[in-house]
Amino acid sequence: MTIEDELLSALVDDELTLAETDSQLAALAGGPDRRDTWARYQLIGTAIRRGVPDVYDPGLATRIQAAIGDTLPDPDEGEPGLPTPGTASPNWKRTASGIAMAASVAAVALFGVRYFAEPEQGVTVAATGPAIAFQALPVAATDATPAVAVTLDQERINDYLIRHNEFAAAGGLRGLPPYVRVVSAEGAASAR
Amino acid sequence: MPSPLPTIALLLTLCPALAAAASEPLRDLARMSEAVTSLNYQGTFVYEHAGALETMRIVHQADADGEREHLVSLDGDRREVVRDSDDVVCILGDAAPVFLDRLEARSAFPGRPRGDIDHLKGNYSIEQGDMARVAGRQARTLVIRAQDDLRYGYRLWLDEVTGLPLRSELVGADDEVLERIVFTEIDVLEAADPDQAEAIRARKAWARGAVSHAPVRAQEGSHRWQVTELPKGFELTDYRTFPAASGNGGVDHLVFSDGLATVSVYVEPASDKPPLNGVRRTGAVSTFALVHDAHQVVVVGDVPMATAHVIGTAVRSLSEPAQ
Repeated sequence: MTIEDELLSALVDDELTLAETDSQLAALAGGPDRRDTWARYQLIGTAIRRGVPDVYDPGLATRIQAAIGDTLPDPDEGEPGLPTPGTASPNWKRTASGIAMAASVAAVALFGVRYFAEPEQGVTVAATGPAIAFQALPVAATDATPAVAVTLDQERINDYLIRHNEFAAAGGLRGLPPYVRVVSAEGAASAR
Repeated sequence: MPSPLPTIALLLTLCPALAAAASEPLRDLARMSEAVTSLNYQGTFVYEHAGALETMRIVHQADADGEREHLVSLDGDRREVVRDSDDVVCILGDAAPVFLDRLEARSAFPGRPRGDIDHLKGNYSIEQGDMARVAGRQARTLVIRAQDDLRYGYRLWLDEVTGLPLRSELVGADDEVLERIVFTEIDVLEAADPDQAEAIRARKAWARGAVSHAPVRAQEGSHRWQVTELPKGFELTDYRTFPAASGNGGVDHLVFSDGLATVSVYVEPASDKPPLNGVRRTGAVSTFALVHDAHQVVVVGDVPMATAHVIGTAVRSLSEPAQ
């Protein structure tokens, strides 16, 4: 694990100072690799705390980047974070607001992931449930992607499950008669 | 996906030297696989998953005409699956019956050399346990432990006389049982009961008359997608395509296996429906969905969520430049 990865991990665990948080969020904005790493740390962290979440939004990191993208300092506008003497620097204001925004977004992001981890197994997070709460959050409000991205369409999911079970059950391994999952009440409910 | 176990059973039969070399637990596994598909049996079992308990009844027949099976829920609304050779129909309560796709190529394990027993050994350890009594019958326990956290383990109680699994458990981390099936009573018959065979065929005929559309069949597909980073031990075992329910192009279905666990990857062009982004875990089944390159990617597998996540995020078009 690199130092950057350790910082990213610390960000997930909410162990960074405000400045470090801003720095890591700026790094998140830098590329998909960092965002993917961040998302995986989120999943691992959540899994350690309470098991793998039933609902986890892999696009959250991207939306955070979109949310803070406009507030991060522009490299072409001088030293980031330093106000120009004698003037009320727009750059400084942008950076300051960026830090505040980044911190709030980080808190929202962490809260959001933990929030989504709440449902019990098999509980569907639909547009009428937690997704609505998530829509009200700043991250979603600034994102072009639908805020209901975590919603898994039950009918479409069930089609996939049935086809998968055809493969998984072939041969009868585990002693699981083929189609048991299809006949189960939950499988039937999701097919309707 | 065809299991390698029938192949193993065949090899053990045809090659005494190999049979001698194969371990006792592997022979038990192969015997179980053969028993499940070739014997005539009927019984009642309890299916436990995700904290729910359900009771079901199964009738399984096998003769020169092929396999027939009738699986019925005994709790709540009547839900059933009827299988008659290549026809599989799903009847869920009052909803219209749904014909499922019956996979044709079950006799081989595509993409892997036949009889690759070592493939199982590389990912799992298998050992025999003590004798136990299940559904009034003597059973030998078989413990299959995953060698890492990328897959689940299994515990099986196999009927001493027939090899049928009387009880089975899918075991996750910390020995957590994710799925459990326990027969409370089971009868093994010498031959298929003709009355039951006729009942199964009649039920299928009724279902066929109740639906107006033909079943959607998967076809062998040309490979357009790949998974660039597979978890250890997994390899591509099948690749099919079938029409998307949305009517928006076709769905590519990639199947991966480590010898026991199976993971399906579905890739289809994004439609006007809201994209699927997220996860869902139900018992032992993990579902992970994301959008990549204007395509919907859905991963479904009897594996931990982390394994589904690794596979899903590594889906790439074969036409994409390597990164």
